[in-house]
Order: sequence, then C-alpha cells, then structure tokens
Amino acid sequence: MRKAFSPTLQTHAGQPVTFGSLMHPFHGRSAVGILLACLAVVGCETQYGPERTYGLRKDPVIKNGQKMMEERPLPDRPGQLPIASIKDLTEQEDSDHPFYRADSAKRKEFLVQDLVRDTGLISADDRKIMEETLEKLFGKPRDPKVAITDKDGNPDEKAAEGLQVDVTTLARGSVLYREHCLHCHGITGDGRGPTGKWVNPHPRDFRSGLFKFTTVNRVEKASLKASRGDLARTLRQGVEGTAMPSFNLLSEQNIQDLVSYVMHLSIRGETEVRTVLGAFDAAKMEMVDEDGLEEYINKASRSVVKAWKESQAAANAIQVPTMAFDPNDIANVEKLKESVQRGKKLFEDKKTNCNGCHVNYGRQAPYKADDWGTLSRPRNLTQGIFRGGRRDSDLYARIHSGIVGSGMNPFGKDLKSDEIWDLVNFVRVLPYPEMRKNVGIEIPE
Amino acid sequence: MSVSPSTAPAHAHHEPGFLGKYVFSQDHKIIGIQFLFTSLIFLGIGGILALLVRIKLAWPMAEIPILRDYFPDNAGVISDTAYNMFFTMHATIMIFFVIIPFLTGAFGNYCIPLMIGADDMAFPKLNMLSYWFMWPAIGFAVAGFFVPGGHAGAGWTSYPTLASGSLGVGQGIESPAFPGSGWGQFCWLMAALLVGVSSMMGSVNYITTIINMRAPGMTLFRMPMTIWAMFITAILQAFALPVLTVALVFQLMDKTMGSTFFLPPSGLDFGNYHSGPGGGQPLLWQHLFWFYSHPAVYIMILPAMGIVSDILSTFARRPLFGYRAMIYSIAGIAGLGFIVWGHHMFQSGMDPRLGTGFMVATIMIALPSAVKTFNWLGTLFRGNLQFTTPMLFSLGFVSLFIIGGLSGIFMAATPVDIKIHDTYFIVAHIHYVLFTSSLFGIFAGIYYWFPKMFGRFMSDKWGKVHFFLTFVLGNFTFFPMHILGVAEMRRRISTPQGTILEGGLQNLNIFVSISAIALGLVQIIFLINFLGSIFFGKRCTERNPWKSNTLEWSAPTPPGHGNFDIPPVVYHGPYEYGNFEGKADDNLMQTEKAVGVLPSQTH
Amino acid sequence: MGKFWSFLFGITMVACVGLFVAAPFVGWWMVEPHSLHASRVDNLFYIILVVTGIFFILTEGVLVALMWAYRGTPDLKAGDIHKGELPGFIRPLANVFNTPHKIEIAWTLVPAAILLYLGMAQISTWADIKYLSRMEKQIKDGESPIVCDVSARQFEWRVRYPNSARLKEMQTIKANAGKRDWEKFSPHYDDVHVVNEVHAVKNKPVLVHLSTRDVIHSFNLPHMRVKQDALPGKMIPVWFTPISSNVDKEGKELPGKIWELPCAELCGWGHVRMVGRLYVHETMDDYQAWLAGVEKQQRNGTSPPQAVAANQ
Repeated sequence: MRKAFSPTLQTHAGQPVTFGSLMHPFHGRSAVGILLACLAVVGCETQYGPERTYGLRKDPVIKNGQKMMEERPLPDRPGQLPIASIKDLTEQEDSDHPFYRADSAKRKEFLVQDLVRDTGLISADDRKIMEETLEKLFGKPRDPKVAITDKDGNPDEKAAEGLQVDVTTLARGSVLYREHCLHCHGITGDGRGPTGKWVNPHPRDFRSGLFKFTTVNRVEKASLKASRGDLARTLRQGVEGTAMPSFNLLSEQNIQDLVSYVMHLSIRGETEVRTVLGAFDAAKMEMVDEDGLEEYINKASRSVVKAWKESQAAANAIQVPTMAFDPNDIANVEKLKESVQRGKKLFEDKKTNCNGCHVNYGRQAPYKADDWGTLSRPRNLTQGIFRGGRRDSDLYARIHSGIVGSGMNPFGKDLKSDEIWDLVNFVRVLPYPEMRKNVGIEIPE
Repeated sequence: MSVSPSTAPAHAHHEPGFLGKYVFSQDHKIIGIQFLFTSLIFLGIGGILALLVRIKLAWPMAEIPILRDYFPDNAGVISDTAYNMFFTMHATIMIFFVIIPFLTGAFGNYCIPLMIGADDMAFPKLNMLSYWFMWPAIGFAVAGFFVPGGHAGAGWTSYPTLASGSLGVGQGIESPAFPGSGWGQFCWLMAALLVGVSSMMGSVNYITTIINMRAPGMTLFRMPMTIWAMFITAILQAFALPVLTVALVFQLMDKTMGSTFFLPPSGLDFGNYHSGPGGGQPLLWQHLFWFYSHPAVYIMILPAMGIVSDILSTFARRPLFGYRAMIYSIAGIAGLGFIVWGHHMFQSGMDPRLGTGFMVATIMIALPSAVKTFNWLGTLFRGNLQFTTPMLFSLGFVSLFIIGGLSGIFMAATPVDIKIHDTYFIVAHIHYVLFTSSLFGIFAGIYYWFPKMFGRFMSDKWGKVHFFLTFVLGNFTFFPMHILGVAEMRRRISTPQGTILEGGLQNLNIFVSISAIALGLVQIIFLINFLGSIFFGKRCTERNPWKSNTLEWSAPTPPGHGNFDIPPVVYHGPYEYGNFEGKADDNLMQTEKAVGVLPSQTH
Repeated sequence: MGKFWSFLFGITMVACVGLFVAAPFVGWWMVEPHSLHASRVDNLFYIILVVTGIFFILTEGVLVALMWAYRGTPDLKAGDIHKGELPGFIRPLANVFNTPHKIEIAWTLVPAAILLYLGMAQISTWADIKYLSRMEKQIKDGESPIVCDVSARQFEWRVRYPNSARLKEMQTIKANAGKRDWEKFSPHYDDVHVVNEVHAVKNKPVLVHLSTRDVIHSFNLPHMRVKQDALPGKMIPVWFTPISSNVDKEGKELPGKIWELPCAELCGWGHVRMVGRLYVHETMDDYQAWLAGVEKQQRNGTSPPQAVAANQ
C-alpha cells in the first residue's frame, strides 16, 4: 500500500531533502503548508550549516606514536583518545600521561626529540594563512572541493582527474557523511565525533592519510594510499571486530559518493599534516620554509593528490594470482592438506617470523604500539575474525603488502605467491578445530 | 453536629523556627508541599527533555538554533548519544522524580492524616527522612548529566548488557557498550536506589498511619477512595521495592566490583575490549526489574484513580457508584499486578510457554480496570455535574484512561505483541496511562486541594483554559503514536528515517512534535496560575469550599499544626451527597450525624 | 459550559476513531503480511481492534451522554436532579443504573467472558510461532529448512550460511523423531559469511540461529511478523515461512518490495541504523545460485580483489 520510499537511497540524490520530497502522494497535503512554514523556522537541513568551517587542527601531530607509547604502555579506556591527542597541548591538567604532567620538561623532551608537533605553538598569523589557504583549496564542509593549483597559482583541473572529487560528487558525499559517519569520524575526519573516543579501536583518523586494509602494492611503493575499491569494500563489509558497521544497504552511488568525500577529507587533512611537519621547525613551530607558507601548502596538496592518483592505477594494485587448485572442491582435499602444512611451517619459520608477533597463533600476542599512538595487539588468528575482510584475496593482500601503521610488515618481497597462498590456507583453517584435525595440523590448546 | 470555628489551636505546642517549620519540617503537610514543589521542578526538567526528544525526531539532521552550540563535535546536530540520554532521563525523571513523588509523596503525605482524621503521620521523623532521601537521589540524577560520557542512555529499563557492559575488574567504570553506561549509569543506579529508600520509608509510614491512626468511627470501609488507593499502593511498594533494590545493587556490583550477575558465561566483545567470562544471565535483570516495575505502573496510577474517584463524586454531587467494588478492584489490580510482569518480556527470549501464562493473567487484569471505569460512569448518572477545573481533569482522566486501558489489551496478547512490541504503540500506551491519566489525576488533585493547602483558590478560568489545551494537545501528541506504532515505527530511534517504513511517517512525526512543543508551552499557563495563586489567588476563608464530605474539609484552612481544632468523629462513609431534611446543603460531612436514610443506601 | 465540555469530549473521541479508520487509507498502516503465520497475527490484531473499538465507542458514548444529560448549575442541588424527568435518550439506561447489583454483575461477567475469549484465542497462534515443539511438527518429513546463523553486534547483523555442498547434504537428511542435524549448526571452515542480508526461499521454512556478541538486539522482520530478542550468551531459534518472494532471478529486489530487518531493541547510539534486508527467492535454484555466487567471491581468490570490490 505504501509507496516504496528509501531515505537512504533517494533523499540524498544530490539535492538537499525538502519536506515535500518526503511526502507520500496521499497523505496530508493540506497540512503541508503549515508544516513547511514550521520547517522554514528551523531550517530543513541535511547539509552542514553554511558558516561551518573545517578549521585548523587543534590537536598535536604525532610523529612517532610507537616511541611515545614506550612511556605508557597501557590501553586507553573508553572515553580516552590515543595518547598525545586527547587534548590540545595547552590543556594538560586531567591526563595521567607524562606528556601532560605539570612539569613541562617531558613535553619539551618530546618536542625536541621530534616525536610530536604542537600546533598550538604556531603563530596567529601563520594559522590565519593556513586556514585561508586550506579553505581556498578544499572549501567548507557544506561546499567541499579539491581545487589544486599549479606552480603558477592557476587552477589545475588535471591534477585530481580520475579521483572523482568533483564538486557535485563531494556535495552529495558531504550530506551522506554528515548523516552516517560524522558521529564517529568527526567533521574533519579526525575520528573525534561524539562517540569516537568511546570505541576501541578508535575510528580512523583520515588526516594521517594512512589506511590499513588496502590492496595497493606497497612492496613496490610505500607511499601508496588506498584504492577506491578498498574504501568501498570497507564501507560495504564494515570492519569486523571493531565498531565500524557495514553500510551495504546504501546504494552503489551513495557508497561512491562517500568514498569521494573520505578521500577529500584525507587529502585535506594530510596536506595540513605535511605542512605542520614540513614547513615549521620542531620545537618552536616557526616557519623554516622559504617559499612562503601558502606556497608550501599548495606544494603539499599537489604531492598528496599525486599519491592518491597513483594509488588508483591498476598497475599499482597487488596482482593476486589464481591459487593452483580450488580449495573448495572436495577432490582437492589432499592438495589443501599439503598446502596448509606448508603454511604452518612457513608461519613458524625464521624467514617470516609470524610467530614472533602472533605468539601462540595470536592467542598470547604481546601489546604493541601503532603509528596513531594506541596500544594494539597482533590478531588472534584462532578467533576467525579478520578485520580486513575474510575473502582469500583479502588475506593475500594483508600478507603481501602488510597493514600500514600497525607493525604488520609487507611480505610480498620475501615470499613467492604460492607461499602466500599456503599461509592464507593455513590461516583460514586455524579457527576451526575440526578442520585442523582433517588437514592434520595440531596446535597446542 | 455543627462545627464551631475556632482560631486557637486545640492543644499547645512550641513554635519551631523557620528552618524547623518549612525546611526540616516533620509536619506531614509541609513535607507534602515540599514533595509537591520538588516534583513540579522535575516535571519541568522532564518536560524539557521530552521536547528535546521530539525535536530530534521531527528534524533529525537539522541544526536547531541555540541547541546547536551544545553539539560542536556533531556539527550542531543533536547527537544520537545525547538523544539516548534524553529519552532515558525523560522516562527516569518522569517516573521516579515526578509521578511517584507527586502521588505518594505529595498527595500521600498531605492527604492521609487529614483524610483519616489523624494529627500527623505515625513516624514524623521517618517522614522527614523520606523527603530528605530524595535529595541525594536528585543530586545523583542531576550530576549524571555532567559526568564523562553523559547520563545513562540505555533506556529507563537499563537492560544489561547495554547498561552493564564493562571492562574487567580494576580497569575503571567506563563502559565500552555505550558512553553513558559508565559513570552516567552509576549515577542512574544510585539515584534509583536512593529514591527507592525514600519510597520505602514513605510506604511503611503510610501503612502504619492508615492502620493505627484513624479517627474514631473511621472504619476501613468508611475511608475515602484516595486513602484506600494510597494504602494499597503503599503495600505494593513495600513488597515490590526490595526486589528492585536487589537488582540495582547487583548492577552496581557488576559495574564497580567485578561481579557478573548479568554477564553471560560467554562474555562480551566490543571491538578491542573483551569482558571476561561471566556467570550470570542478562535475562535475570529483566525479571527482577519488571517484578518491581510492573507493580510500579500501578503505583503510578492507583492513587490517581483514588483521587479521581473522590473528585468525581464531589462534583457530580452523587455517592460514588459501587464503593466496595471499587476497593475490591483496586485490590484485584494490585494482586494481579504481581503476577503479570512477564508481559514486558514476551519477545525477550524467555521460554515462550511462560508467555502464555503471563498473557492470560495480563488480559484478566483489564477486568478490574473495566469495572472501575463503569463505576465512574455510574457515579455521573443522575448527578448534578459541576464543571470545575478539578472535575474536568477527572473527567479527562476517565475518558483517556479508557484509551490507555484498551490499548493495553493489544500488547497483552502475545501474538499481537510480536507486531507491536518495541514500537510507538507502546509509547502511545504508556503516555495515555501516565500522562493523560496519572498526570491528569495529579492536576485534578492540585486544583482540588490547592485551597486547603494555601488558603487561596487557583484561577478557575485559567484552569479551564489549561485543561482545554492540555486535553486537545495531549490527544494530538499521543494518539497519532498508535498509528506510528502500527505502521512500524520502532521505539527509541533517534531519527525516524532508519528504515523505509519509518521514512514514510516523517510528516506524522513532525505533527506530533509540534503538538508536543505546544503541549509543553501550555503548561506555562499552569505554572503561572499555580505560583501566582499562592500569592494573589482569591482567598478561601471557608473550611469546605467545594462542599465535600471528607475529613480534611472539616479542618481549618489551611490546617495548622496538629490539623484539627476539633477532634473529628466519623459517623458514615465519605460519599453522602443528596437531599437532607433540614439542611440547606446537599452534602453530609463525615463528621455530621446522619438523619434518616443515607443517599448511598438508596442510590 | 457543560454542553461545551461534552461536545469537546465527543469530538475528540470521534477524531480518535476517525484517525484509526482513515489511517489505512493514507498508507499509515501495517505492511502486508508475507509469511505463513502473519495473517493469523493480523487477524488477532483486528479481532482485538474491533472488540476494543466497540468498547471504546460504547464507554466514551455513555460518558459524553452523561456529561451532556447531567450538566448541572451551581445553584441546583443534587436532590433536584433526582426528582426531575430524565432526558429521552437516557431513559433506557435508567433502569440499568437503578438496579446496581444486577448491572454490576453484568458489567463484570460480560467483559470477563470477552477478555477470557481474547486470551484463549491467542494461545494456539502463539504456540505455533514460538514453541520449539510446534516447529518440529510444522516442518514436513524430509524437508529441511533453510538454516542460517545470525549473530548481531553493534550495529549490524552478521549472517552465516552453510555453503552449497553442505546445503545439499542437509537437504537430504531424512527427518526423524529425535534431534535433527540442522539443529547443530556450528561454525565451519567453508561457511559463507554475509552482512545484513538474510536470504530465504518462498514456501520454505527458515530457521535462524539467533545470537549476539555484545548487547541485546531484536531480530525484527515486519513483513514476516517476526520479532525475537537476541540474548548475550544464548542461542535462540527463530523460524518462519515466507509465502511470497521479493527478488528477481538476479537477486535484485522487485520495485516496492524492500523487506527490512531493523533491530527493535535499544542497542546503543546506532540503534536506528541497525538495519538489514530480507531477500526471499522464488525457487531453491535461485537461492543456490546466489549462494554459489557469494561463495565464489569469498573463496578461491581467483579474481583480483580490486576488481571484485569494484564489481560487488
């Protein structure tokens, strides 16, 4: 009886949702006038407010989270963000991390050691230049854009070609992001939405430009980001074992719009980060670059966009060869058995040293610090929860190119593709005791 | 017997100072009025929270002026976390800090000694403590809004493991399940615990007072319905509250001491956080909680029924129809109320065979309610209806309680409950029972006893305006919720756009929200009328302005310390309205000796 | 004033009834039932609606009539009314109200009988939907249901199916009086995992093993009239038989036939977004085709992940 109506599918098709578009052809046409008037007062918005800006980042940039974590190897509790980015450096009272303790000696030490950059030390003039330049390049949350300029300051339309970061796509993405992602990932993609600090692992901070679960070939080029397909896969499948749910009921169009907007946030954020790290000196945050701050930001944005563009190239994707046999086929059970046993040997081998981190197949894995300054553990492989996806090809990619920022190294150089497949088969079998028995491997309980 | 007005108190007593008289008072009337004001303040707070909920539902992604400044990290939109906190605390405050203190605290304290002819409660100090135990509860309830993570947000039912999910022992109280399930939930639990202590002190006092301190001649079956309702409510509370207290302590221990009453053996996973294995069962909480909270629903409606019965009879100028049947049905509701808690849990994973038993018991509880309704209608028959403000609210109560009662049958029926469980139908039902019934009863009581409390009348004209708007807007707000529920709008959702079906209901939601906002604004009329009348209302010099029959109207207005200047003696029941030979008035007070056959005996 | 107030009460009640009558015509009503037991649930709903509707109109009508008939004035004494002539329309009531004991017995026994009937009418339907023993009887011999494992978490449904080979194996299991094999559906190496999608086949029972990893969720299929909370630490069986399909051969939803699976029990801040979909295939072959497709994607990394991701 009711007309099919999907808010997630239809209301965000580019235009802001007006109340009229929500109306069923039957109901209450007479009431529309009154209700529209009431709505006009509040403003029927699915978009960000026009005056809302991204603003300059307030939290310090963590340059070496792993080293910093040596000070306090404790997992953060719900309600705490990773160390050194919980609060501005200026607000230091209520944290028990040495970085914030009253004696600023430790803080100074961190600054001098160049583990962290305190954006609070940037002078007001420089902040203003940064803010204005970034806004010129990337717009506001309501009207996002990626407007790269060439060396002469003219708009360079070719720079972001192929990234699908045109103004209309980003406008759609911004509306969707506000509805679905903002609550955790925050306005600037900093992972500090209202619930961001309550979930662990914390939502990805897009500004770092690091994406964990990708299929770009980092063995060849470590600077690669993520392909659109990778981001779309994460959106569709969610990340099992974290607070990132699946958004697979959104339409293809919506997913692609969101991917574009996330890329926009990441490009903007990383430009900012590179500027803070590159244009200023460590302790005092005084300008060191002689090109001028504005030009430095332009330069940074160009190089970030270039890295993203490269990541999309088919040649830079991991080439996953077909497995020598179909492991699903019951006829291949003997081959599978051999493959798994080879995988087990490799897992315990000195060459890979998987056991070194995934101690006792991950069941007794020690805590490690990651690049974001959080404590994390190498995966417990006996649980059958794979954050980067449970397809064979996903596991292949994890082993081949590693997981950025987490300490999982790429093994694509050291291992042949068949060897990686053996490891994949082994890892797939590990969580199932019955299957372990079938293929003849034993792991101590 | 004629009453000789006397200004001098019947017995001498020492005059306490200001603090002793108005703040740390042991006088039941002052304590009643203290409860009244406290509840009124919280009615305001709870109402504002309700409006925030409705604003979010009508315009889920809009930046609301003023409000947007409070949600900078959510781009000016009310965040889902805050929304959960709003509806949780709206329900908690309305139930534990408004309806229960209003009915049992304010009216119970004020009316019980006056209506049974006692000079005070049996335990005045305990009575004072009962009020002052509210304050730590209020402290926790308010403090919760300012703790890290915000106030509790797992619904007023606080089901584990959303409410109780926690880290391992010694890792702190913060919860990975929900920001408000850490310190916020702790505050919630403490507040509920302390309110429970306060209620328990009250109910012990009420039971003792009613049993032991009735005036000469006041037999049990000469007590007004208000007193009967308070008496049975107090018994309900005394038996049900310990169970809730136990449940609250269990959850507190789960939260702070690492016990696992509500944690299943398999433990829980929240991303990187893992609880250890537990030894408990989340369903246990639901059983314990509803064992109290279902009787609590009757705690929240029975006193209002009693008040309304008295007011209806007074202003219909007719004896209450079926006085004894009314008492038996209240007792029936209370008795059955203890064996129906499972109807909140039909879909909870409890054994479905238990559901069948609970269903039959639940459906039968509609019977005493129906009998009461018919009796109220019978009271109006051949009456001489005086449409004063308290009468209008009482008639509104009868009219709208019928809706709330009938909609209850839907959810009592197990298969139909599959459809409407956790939808807005439930929300409509609870608001018809608690807003348009309990709160109407409270308003009726305030308008009715105001002259006795403060010696002045509330404005009848503005009272009627208040009733008219509340009645109309109340229906506008809550009746469409039935339709929303039938059309599959889920409960406790922060935007009505989650599913396709809900998306089609957006305009009805906007209508409801606008009505709700108007309904909220209308209560300002009441507030001004109430506060203004205390100081500027028409003076009430008579003892019995409504020409009623019950004992409180034979006391001076307002009653002094010790209540009665003439110790009352009761000769008959409270509902004798009719023609009396040699008497100009059509009422016969309980202290007046009857001449001839009583109206209640002739009908 | 009495007239005004009775009028107000009357009009409000008419409006309430009117809204319930009008709502289905403007689309604010229940969705169509699509499962074997759904129309039984709906029938019970309508029975209660009619009974309560009649009682509503009756009691509110009497209330308004009494308010109208006995609106008094302050000068009037109660006794005067008693002596006065009754208005015409209220006269039949007079006899009733004048004999209190009979009427009290009547208005206790009549509702009691009706309520008891309403209660009893529910029992068999409830038992068929929820009693495990009844499910055994409903499923014919040799006809195994579609089995899946739904594991809820904040804020999604993770669903696990036996793969094609194991599905075939399960289909051939002959029913016996005792425990069936499909009751034990433990995680297996070659299971198929999907998120937020529950697949079923028309006219074939579906058995869902419902569990949760964190808090209480509620498995809620409005079109199937199914609702069941998932309890931490407990596996709860849920079953239903869809009687119409909503997807085409390719597994795409037909226009206007999107059947959602929203979570019905508050599960945290993202409760509203916890929505899945139900896909009911026309034939078993369609279902198997879908299953084979997902399986291929998941296993046997033949296709480069990037291509798979883009084509998904």
